[in-house]
Amino acid sequence: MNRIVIVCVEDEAEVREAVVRDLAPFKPLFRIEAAEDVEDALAVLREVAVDEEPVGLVLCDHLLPGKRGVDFLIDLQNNPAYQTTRKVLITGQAGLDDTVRAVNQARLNHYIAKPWQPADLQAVVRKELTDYVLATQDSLIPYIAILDGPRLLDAIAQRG
Amino acid sequence: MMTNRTLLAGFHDPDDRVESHMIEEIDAALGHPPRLDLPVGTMIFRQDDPLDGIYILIDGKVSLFQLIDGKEVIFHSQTVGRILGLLALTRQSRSFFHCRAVTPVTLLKISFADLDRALQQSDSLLVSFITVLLRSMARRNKRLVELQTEVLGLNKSLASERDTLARTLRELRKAQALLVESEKMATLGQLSAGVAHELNNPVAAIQRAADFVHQDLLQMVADLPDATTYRAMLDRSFTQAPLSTREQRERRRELATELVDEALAERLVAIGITDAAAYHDLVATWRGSAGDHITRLERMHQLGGALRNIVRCADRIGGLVKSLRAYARADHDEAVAINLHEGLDDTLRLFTNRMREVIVERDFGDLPPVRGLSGELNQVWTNLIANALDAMKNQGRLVIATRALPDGLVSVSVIDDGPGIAPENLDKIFNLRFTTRQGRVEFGLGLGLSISRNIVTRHGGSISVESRPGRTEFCVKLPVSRPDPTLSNQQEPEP
Repeated sequence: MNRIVIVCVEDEAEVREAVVRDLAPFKPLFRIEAAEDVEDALAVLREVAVDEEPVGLVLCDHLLPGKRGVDFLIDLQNNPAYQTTRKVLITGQAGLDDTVRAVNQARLNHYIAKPWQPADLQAVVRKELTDYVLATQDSLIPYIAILDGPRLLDAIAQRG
Repeated sequence: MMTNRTLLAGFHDPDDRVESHMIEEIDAALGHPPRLDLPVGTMIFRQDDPLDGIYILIDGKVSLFQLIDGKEVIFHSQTVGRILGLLALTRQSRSFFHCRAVTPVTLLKISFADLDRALQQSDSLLVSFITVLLRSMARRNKRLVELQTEVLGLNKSLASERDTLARTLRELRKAQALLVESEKMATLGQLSAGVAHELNNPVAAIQRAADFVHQDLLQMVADLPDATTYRAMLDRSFTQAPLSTREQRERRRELATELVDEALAERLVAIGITDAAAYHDLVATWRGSAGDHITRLERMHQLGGALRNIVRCADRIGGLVKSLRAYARADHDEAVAINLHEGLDDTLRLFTNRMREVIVERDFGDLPPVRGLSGELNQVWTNLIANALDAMKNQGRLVIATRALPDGLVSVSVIDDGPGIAPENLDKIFNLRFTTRQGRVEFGLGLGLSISRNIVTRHGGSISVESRPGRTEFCVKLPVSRPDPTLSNQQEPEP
């Protein structure tokens, strides 16, 4: 089965490790890829594309060396391949202007402020991934245990 | 009318003679009319009184004045002349001035009818009367010109006074703006120093706790079977930086090919085991399930990595706190010997978050300590670096260069590779702007540079700027040991 990919872009190794570890509950079903800047994230996207695995969620810091997180998310939104990808900004430093741009131009789905609580981060990721599988996946059953079970069951009942 | 007399004849005579001649002639013509003796302060006539004749002032002094906005404005006192009611006479109308005796006076009152009669009787009176009349008019006219000149002079000094006031107001506003700003900085400094101080304890506790956890963990691991492997894993993850994300992906691909197990390769690379041989060596030493061992190794790896992160991040916070405290150190209003490099480094560290995309070159020379106020000088470095980062849009190359110069001077230069300052703005950038919006030049150089220049001047130094596209240099020159009087007045005298 092709796994849905979660891409996490964060330049500080300590913070990156913490985010990735907080995503552990999703590991059994999802492929978690970390990248330290936008260029690295693009390399991840290329590799994932070669493996023909879909990108379900991008968690992105804003202040990155080189290209900014918000600009990366906007580029993604403008690329037809990543229209359905859920986009979350996780940052301590994006100003109001950047955040507004992210919401308007990148269709930002959520904004997580640093420092985060693991339960909050996991709740956001669970909701976003649930939205993603509902919008893109034919078979919802595998995700019931890890994502939002009741919502998925409702959807399964409705789809008949 | 007379043909053998001219009006000019009388003009060569002094005023007194013409006047007494006129009075004699009037007395002769009108049969010595009675004199009026009036005490000082008598109002002889009032402005707009209908006058039916004139007064000849024989003795004493009067003043002619008008009431303007309820105040007496004197137009003539020395320049009254002998004839009162002069203007009324010329127009046969109401009086133009108030007239009051300022000494006891002796007057001769003559009605217009009597005057006409007398003038018709005596050509000699006509001549002296017209002469007196003309001379009075001339004196009064001259007086008006003098008054006009006086008014012009007053206007001029008023204008200059107004300019002085406006200038003073500007200076005061400037001083106020500087005061407010320095007060803000002082408050901010105290706050930061306080916060930094409060952060010290938790940071120290975190650093110590991480150390204790590490020690206890090492003890626990020593008691485990396969202690060596776990200890090695713990040590490695504690001391070594993890592979870059790019490298991890590459190793993962390679290992997946070698082991023909993608999931296993992912787990192994995540814990730093990157080649198949090393993995097989490990497996050979394990009793029981390899999966359990890997899970335990993952735990060890995570523990070591988490500890490493705690220690590194606590150290970072500790470094920031130290810089913040040094930066915001409350000055004791006392010039002390300062190592400028420490202040520059502390300031740079506090700008870390704006310098992720900036290459900072610390081109530090060999500097002697400089006498000054470290807090104030740090404010100068902050302003210069903030301006440079603004100009560079937080990207590019920033050079901080220090040099010891001859003549007991040192220089600190902040050089950016931003677009530069327009030549027409160069000489204005140290000026104070009152408004924060319209007044600002290109990169928001506002109060900061003005304050910086004040501080540098107080330290007996100078600040200069050179700018062209791609290179802007602000250079501060400070004397090493010649503190300004305002800085040194609380100091022991120099030996």
